[in-house]
Amino acid sequence: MSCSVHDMVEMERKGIATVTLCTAGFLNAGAQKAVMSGMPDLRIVGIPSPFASLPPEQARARGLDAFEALIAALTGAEGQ
Amino acid sequence: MAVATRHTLTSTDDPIQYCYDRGWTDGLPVVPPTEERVAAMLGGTGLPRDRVIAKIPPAWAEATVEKIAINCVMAGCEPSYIPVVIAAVRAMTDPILNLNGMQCSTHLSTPLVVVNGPIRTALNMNSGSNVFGQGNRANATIGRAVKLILTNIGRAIPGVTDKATLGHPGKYTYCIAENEEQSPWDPLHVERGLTREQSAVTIFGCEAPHNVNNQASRNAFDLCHTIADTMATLGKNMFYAQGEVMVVICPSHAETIAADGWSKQHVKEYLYEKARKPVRLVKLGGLYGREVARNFWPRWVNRTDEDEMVPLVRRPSEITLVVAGGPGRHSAFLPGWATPSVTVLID
Amino acid sequence: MSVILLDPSAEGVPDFVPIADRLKELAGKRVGLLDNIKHNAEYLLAAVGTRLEELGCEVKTVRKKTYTKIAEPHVLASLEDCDAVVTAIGD
Repeated sequence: MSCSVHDMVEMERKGIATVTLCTAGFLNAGAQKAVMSGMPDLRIVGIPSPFASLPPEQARARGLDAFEALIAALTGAEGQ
Repeated sequence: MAVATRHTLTSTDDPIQYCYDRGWTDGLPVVPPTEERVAAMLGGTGLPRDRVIAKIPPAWAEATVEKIAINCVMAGCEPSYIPVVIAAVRAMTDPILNLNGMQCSTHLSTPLVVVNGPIRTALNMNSGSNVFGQGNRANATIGRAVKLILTNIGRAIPGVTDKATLGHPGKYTYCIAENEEQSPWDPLHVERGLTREQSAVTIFGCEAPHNVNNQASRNAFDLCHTIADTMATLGKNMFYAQGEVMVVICPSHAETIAADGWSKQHVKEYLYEKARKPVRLVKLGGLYGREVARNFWPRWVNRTDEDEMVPLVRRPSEITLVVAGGPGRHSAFLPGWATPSVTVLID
Repeated sequence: MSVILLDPSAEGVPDFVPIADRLKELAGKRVGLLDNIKHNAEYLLAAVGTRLEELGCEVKTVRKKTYTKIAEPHVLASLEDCDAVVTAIGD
């Protein structure tokens, strides 16, 4: 998680909008790392656990389930 | 880097509780870091207090000599221990060790401190009986200072930024001295190019010790076979992402092995060849399960052959050997986190 | 006389850096998908990528060498021509 946040902070610093997808249990780690990186507004979207043990089709389904939240985070439409 | 903030306590504040309330402890009480205690600790090093030794991840915050001294006080160190802790901070922040990844990983590895050279005697460190256990102030507090630095300065907070699923007791303190006096071989720091007269710290990110119980073997083959078999179990990181491992050999086992004319290199080569498991079994778990193509194995491992023996390490040099412990016939295998150990001279 | 304790912790929060502007629309945008090669990340990102393409995006997928470290410089550089980047999976 820490490395993913670091990577996306770098992209944001280059002016590129990002979203980091993580399993729900790592949302707090991602938020903390973002704060420590000086970028508390970094967009992170949670995926329900378990994830790693799912068969591929269910992992794809998780991507589709999170798609709306992902787009909202990319376009700033959260809360609208 | 600014000087550390001074916190003025009220007349009703208990200093030990204050440290708990600020989240500065490892769950055990710490020695409150007063101005006087920190000044005394700084007397153990000639370095200026505002010198930045390293940045500690995942916060990448600066570990100044002063901040290190404060954490040494809290751990219960004597001032004479601080040069070891400073060297440990240098070693563990070497990029090759990937401390950031290790701090935040779900894996339970944590830096082990191994001390070599005359400083062991000067600080009355333990390299003998119960070497991984409690009872010795230098072992306990040097190891604890390193852990407090990782959490207080690095901000690897359990459950928040430190996502270790289980952790292990070494995250309280994890520090040993090599038993150079009872080893038939060169100590670790001499293997790595230093002299016996120099003192050094080696940092290795690893799990808790896995016991190798061998009471009966009277030859190197049988004894090393026991070690290899203990190493090659399916739950090991190394079968999926090869990297360094450590074997701590007790003096009695070392004597048996050396009596057959085996050097450390002979032991490493044997363990490299024998600590293996077939693809058929390795694919049952690990990082990618039956998707064997995704494992980080050497190219020469034929992953399409179910009988192919997957090595635990890529080469014999990835097996680090240290002699430690007291009387008895128990050695220990320490799986790593797939990054190398780092050895640093103690100034 | 008051007891004074010295702070052992990391001090000073880094200067706040705002995130980049969000996308005003998706059609015609190039979206990079950074796969950190954790288990199942590729399937999740593949599904996301298909949906993005249906919305008119151009999708580019890049993989890290390892999830245990930050991305190599050339990997991040390859994403600099993107309008947005999605990464998975923090786990």
